[in-house]
Amino acid sequence: MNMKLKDGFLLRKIAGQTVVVPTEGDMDLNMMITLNGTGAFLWEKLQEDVNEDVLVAALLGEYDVDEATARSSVQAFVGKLMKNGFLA
Amino acid sequence: MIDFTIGVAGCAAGVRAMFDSTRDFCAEYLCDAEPDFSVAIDAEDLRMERERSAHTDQLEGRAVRRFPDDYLETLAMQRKLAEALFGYDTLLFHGSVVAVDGQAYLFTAKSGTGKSTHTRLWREMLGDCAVMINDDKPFLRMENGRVTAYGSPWNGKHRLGANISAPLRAVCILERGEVNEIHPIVPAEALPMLMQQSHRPSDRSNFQKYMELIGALADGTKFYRLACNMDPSAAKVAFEGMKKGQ
Repeated sequence: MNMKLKDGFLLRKIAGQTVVVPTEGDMDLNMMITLNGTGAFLWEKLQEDVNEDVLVAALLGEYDVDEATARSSVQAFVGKLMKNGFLA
Repeated sequence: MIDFTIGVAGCAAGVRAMFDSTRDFCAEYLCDAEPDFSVAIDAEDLRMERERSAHTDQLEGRAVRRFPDDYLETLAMQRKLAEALFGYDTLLFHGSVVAVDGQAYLFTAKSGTGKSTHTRLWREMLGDCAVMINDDKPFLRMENGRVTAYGSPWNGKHRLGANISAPLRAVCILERGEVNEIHPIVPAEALPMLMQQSHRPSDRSNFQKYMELIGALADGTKFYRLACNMDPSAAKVAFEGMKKGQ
C-alpha cells in the first residue's frame, strides 16, 4: 500500500528538536508534534508516495539496524501518522 | 471611521477602527509617530471574530457567548497587529509578565492555572519593585539574540500592565502543585507550551517567520517549570529560583 503525507505541514529544527506544525488544511491548526531523528528521516521520505518496503530500505541504508527492527519502527511510525490523520 | 496611531513593541502602527471605544482602549499607547505599517478593521473582521469565538465555545463545550461589536473590534485589532508584527520579529504571547530590577519574568500556562494570581503574589512580596508589564497578552520582540517583553493594550481582565518594556530574563511554565518548587528546564521542554501560548499566523506566508521567532525565543532566554500553590511563599520560591540562575 502506498502512502504519503498530506500537504500543509512545516518542519523546522528548533532548540535541537525537529518540530512539525500544520499551516493549513483539516488538521488542528494549534497542534504541534516533535520528531526524533528516525521520525524526521521517515517524515522526509513520506513527502513522496512510498510504501513500507521503501521506508524500511531507506532506514537500513541510513542506520545500523537489522531489518526486523527497521520494519517495526516504520510500522509504529506510520501507524501513528495514520491514526492521527497525517497521511493523505 | 476612526484613525489613530499606537506605539507597540517598538513600532508605530496605524489603526483604522469603527468604534471610538477602540481608540480609548489603546489610550496609553497612542502616539503621533509616522506609522511603520497600518491595519484596518471592518464589519467582515467582526463577523469572523464572532464566528471564531462561537467555534471556540462549541469546541470547549460552553454555551455560545454573544460579544458586543466594540469588544470584537479589539479582538480583530489584536489579531491584525499580531499578524503584522511578525514582520518586526515580534510575537504576541499569552502570559503574565512582571519586571523586577529592570528584568522581565514571564509566567505562562493555559487559562485558569493561576498566572495572574502568581504575579499578584510577586507584587505583594516585592511591592514597588515589581512592575507589571502585562497581565495577559504581552508582545515579545526577538532582536540580536535577545528577547524584550513589551506591554500591550490587551492586559487582561484586571487591566494590569503599562506601556513599558524590559529584557526578558526568563519564561516560567506555571503548574499547580501542593508544594512550591522551581527548576530550570531545557528550551526543548518548553517548546510545546511556547507554541500553544503564542499567536500563530492565520496567514500561511507568516509561518516560516513564526517558527524562526519561536526558535529565537527558545535560544534567547532561560526557561523554568514552577509547581506552585497560592501561598505567598510561592512567589519567594519562584523569584529566588530564577534570580539565582544567572
